[in-house]
Amino acid sequence: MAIPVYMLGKESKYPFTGAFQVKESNSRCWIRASGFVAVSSGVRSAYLPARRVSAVVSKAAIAAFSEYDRYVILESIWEEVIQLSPTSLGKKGGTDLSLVIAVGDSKGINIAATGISGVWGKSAMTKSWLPMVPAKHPLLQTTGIPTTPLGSLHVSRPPTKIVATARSVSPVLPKSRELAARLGVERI
Amino acid sequence: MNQKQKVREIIQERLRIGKPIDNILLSLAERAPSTLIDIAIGLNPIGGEKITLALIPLLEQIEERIGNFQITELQFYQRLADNSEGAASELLEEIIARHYQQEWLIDISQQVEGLMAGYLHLSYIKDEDFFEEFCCKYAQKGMRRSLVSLASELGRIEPVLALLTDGNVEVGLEAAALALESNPRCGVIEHMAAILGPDIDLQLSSMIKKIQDPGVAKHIAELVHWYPRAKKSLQDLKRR
Repeated sequence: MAIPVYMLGKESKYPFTGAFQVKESNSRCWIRASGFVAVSSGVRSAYLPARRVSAVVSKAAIAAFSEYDRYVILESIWEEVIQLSPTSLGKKGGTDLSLVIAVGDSKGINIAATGISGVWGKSAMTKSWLPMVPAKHPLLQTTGIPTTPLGSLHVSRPPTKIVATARSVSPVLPKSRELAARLGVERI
Repeated sequence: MNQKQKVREIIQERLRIGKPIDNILLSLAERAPSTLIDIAIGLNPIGGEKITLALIPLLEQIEERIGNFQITELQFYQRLADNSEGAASELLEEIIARHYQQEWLIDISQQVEGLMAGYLHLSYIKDEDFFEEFCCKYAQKGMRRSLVSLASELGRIEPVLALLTDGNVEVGLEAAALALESNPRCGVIEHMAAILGPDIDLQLSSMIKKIQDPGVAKHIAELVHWYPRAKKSLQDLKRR
């Protein structure tokens, strides 16, 4: 079953400026992605960049689903993301991209990301949010649009939900109620 | 009969025979403000459209004095509006012009305009920085009709965003559709995504179904085609 994946952005009057989300699946695997781009370009100028990233991730995932391989799917997505034109991604040209992707199947999930400051999984056992990687993990080191496809973290025992913090946000999760409100969901 | 009663009778008689009362009221405002306030909002006010219209030019003087009578401006105006009959809207316009930044205007607007509360006030402050703030305040008070009307008339996003932020999604979408019809480049779709989140296919589709003018379609096509349901609704709109 697909795991919800969220990206926590900066608190603001328009909290989903430049936000995008991708949900695709077929009978064997699924992908969930979430992120922000061009936030500093403003509400109106960030809208299309966000749609473009979302469309590229979605299209690449669907095209790669036939491979039934989480690594191949992720690589295909990154190859498409790399080709996005910086001029189509707001005034920072995509250097401010925050993107977290989870691809899963019956054997586990793989997580890849760029432009994030932290990533947490909600434990199925304890229902608490636990960091999925330590502070200096490679998953947290890339910023913006990568130049080559990024590696991923394999998680054999997936959490029930995943939240990443955008690079512009300090890597701390607020309490559940505030977290849910900021992510735009009823409960988390 | 005391002096107050005499003055009251003179005013009532002049009103009855259709003679002006402006000079008497002016004189009272200067010399006997307590009598004037008593006539306006006392236990037994004269009331009626004519006296309210005659009081409007004297409001500044009255406001200077009402502090002495231990009533607030809001209390004074609520009582006066209660007895103003057909002049209540004119009174409200004058109050707005005098106090357009005051939050208590919301209460008096509700009293005078009913379901359209906020329409006159928001229209008056539409070019002020705090227009959006007051849109939100009226939305929080449930004053949806005025916000929908203003979204349509002004082609502005602030009334729409106030409704959406307050959780009035259906009415907000109606306002969004009307704002787009009035001003297709108002940016309401981008702001919807920034407030509601990126997954707005359903809301966008629902909003597009409320648009009557097919001419809007070409202006928003680039923003909508990313969302399958909304895209389909836009195609339906174009075919209308």
